[in-house]
Amino acid sequence: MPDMLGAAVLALAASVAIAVGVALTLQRVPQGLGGLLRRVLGLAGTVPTVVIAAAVLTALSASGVAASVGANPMLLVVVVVPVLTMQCDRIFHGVTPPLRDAAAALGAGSLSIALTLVLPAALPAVAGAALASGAQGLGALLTVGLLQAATGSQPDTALLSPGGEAFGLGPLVFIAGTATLAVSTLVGIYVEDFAEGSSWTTPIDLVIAWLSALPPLVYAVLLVAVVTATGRTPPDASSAALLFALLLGPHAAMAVRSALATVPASLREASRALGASRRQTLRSLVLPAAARPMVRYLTGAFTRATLEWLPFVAIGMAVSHPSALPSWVRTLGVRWMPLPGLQVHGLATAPPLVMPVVPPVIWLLAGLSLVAVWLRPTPDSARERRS
Amino acid sequence: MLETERLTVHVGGVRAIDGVSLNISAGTVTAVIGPTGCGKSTLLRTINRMISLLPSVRIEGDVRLQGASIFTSGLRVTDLRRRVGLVGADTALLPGTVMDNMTYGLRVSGQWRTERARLTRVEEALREVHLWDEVKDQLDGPAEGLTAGQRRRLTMARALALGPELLLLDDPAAGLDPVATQRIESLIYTLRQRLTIVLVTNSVRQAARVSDQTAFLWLGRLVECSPTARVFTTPAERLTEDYVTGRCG
Ligand SMILES: Nc1ncnc2c1ncn2[C@@H]1O[C@H](COP(=O)(O)OP(=O)(O)OP(=O)(O)O)[C@@H](O)[C@H]1O
Ligand SMILES: [Mg+2]
Repeated sequence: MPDMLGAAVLALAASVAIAVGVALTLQRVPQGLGGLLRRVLGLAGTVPTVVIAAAVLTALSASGVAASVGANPMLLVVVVVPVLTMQCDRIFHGVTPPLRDAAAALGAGSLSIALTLVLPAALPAVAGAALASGAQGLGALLTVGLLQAATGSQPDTALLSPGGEAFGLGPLVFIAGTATLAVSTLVGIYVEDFAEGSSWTTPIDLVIAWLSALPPLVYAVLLVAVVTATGRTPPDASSAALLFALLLGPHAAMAVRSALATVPASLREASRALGASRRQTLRSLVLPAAARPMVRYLTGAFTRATLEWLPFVAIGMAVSHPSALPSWVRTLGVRWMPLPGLQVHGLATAPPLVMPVVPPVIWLLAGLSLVAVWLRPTPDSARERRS
Repeated sequence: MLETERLTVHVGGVRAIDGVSLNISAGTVTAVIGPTGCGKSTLLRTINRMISLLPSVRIEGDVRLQGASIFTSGLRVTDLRRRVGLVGADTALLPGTVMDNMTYGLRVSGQWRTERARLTRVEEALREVHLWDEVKDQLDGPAEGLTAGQRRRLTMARALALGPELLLLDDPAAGLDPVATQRIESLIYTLRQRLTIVLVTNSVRQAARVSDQTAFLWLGRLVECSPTARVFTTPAERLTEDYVTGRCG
């Protein structure tokens, strides 16, 4: 464990160096090319880390390299860099234009602007992004590792016929997803448009941001621990649906908030000055104006939650209903060395995934994301409202 | 018609208004002048309670409109804002057409239920700001398509359509060219016949041109409030004289 941690810290430092370097360079490339690179990066940065981790680990296993976090923590660099570079670019971009113009007008060169102005102003945000993506990356690698362990060491015998009582998942996930969307939309609207000035704003804000920054593995393991503690056998349809709701909720609430934040505060103010109440302003002005981004962001949140959720469904299936698992999942590879502190018990005899004790690495991931959220920059909407 | 009594407003820990007592009678134009940051906008935003949209605001003293405090629980803040219009240089256009902008306040008020009644109000208000002839053919065009001066008058017409008793103008001519500025000033002059106006301005000359009385604020305090002619000829305070003659501030 300590060895692995040290290597992970090193890997994270390397990722930060690469990401900051690339992002700073991006600030200086000419408009057209920069825009293109930025778009590519933006696309790469929205792919959930678990997907990148799966791709990388699969490719490495296929080419015969020992591919697991335990064996090679530098894998973290590959998984973290795309997301972190995109976030750094966004952070620098937010800080840069006004500062850069002012400094350039005073005769500063672009390198000295980057080093003396942009980097210091963006430091807390970059630190937050680094911790968050580090936690996400580590979580994703561990998840794929679990998936490999579960699928790779399975006896290839059918325990249950496919389509049997195995997974009545469809309707359950639909219900859980819809209910979650409804609740998160209300929460997002409340926080963004109704809670201003109330003493609840900051804690709710922080909790939502934290929940959405938590690596999916944390939810999965805690859920398994809770379900096991209540005496039931974890990978069943209702806990899978619950996991989906847990993964979707915070992302959806954040999506709604960001969509509402695209409506400038000056519009809300104009509406209030004409005698509209908060509710009327929301209904007749803010919601119509935010509808398009809201659909776009919510779709993104939905896709992301689904992609993050699937590996756990696969793990659950591999453990309890191996025959129901598509064969391509099984080809993900076998070269997984179990980490100390995070063990899958008795996979060979195919009992359910049992983790009654929450492994320390989960607390570590949760702690990292909390610090990351605490370091994050003030959302634009809040800043505008205060000015 | 409007009195503030020892009004003190703290915004985010700053005392932006400090014990201001003002008396404004109906049908007059009161200019509020003073250097930047002296609390002019804060004063206007307190009078129609837009200030309470900000977090951490503390208000002491009282503001009375037609003799009744604007802070009584019986008075709905949305009704107050219809009776007391606030238009500033930075007031935003709402998304949509000129017509959307004009009818928004009418629609959310719940009065003027019929289309016909709303159209009459809209035409009256646009005529009042001398905008009707300029925009009557583009009522369904985007409001963004208007010139800066027209937009400024559109935001005024939008507020006037609600039939306010008191109109608060926060530097309404800021950033406009002399012709557009002149239009707004003549508009203020004619509007005075039927409503009361408080005009915040950074232009001392504008205050001299259009107002009946002038209030001079300095660091949140009211230095003096007298008939405009007196403020510009024989002010009671040395500070006022220095400010209006451009020797300080
Ligand atoms: N949202 C806010 N948060 C914190 N302080 C504020 C806020 N709005 C105003 N203030 C403070 O209140 C004081 C008065 O500001 P106000 O905007 O009323 O000045 P002003 O006279 O309108 O200035 P200007 O002529 O530049 O418009 C200033 O010291 C300002 O810092
Ligand atoms: Mg002002």
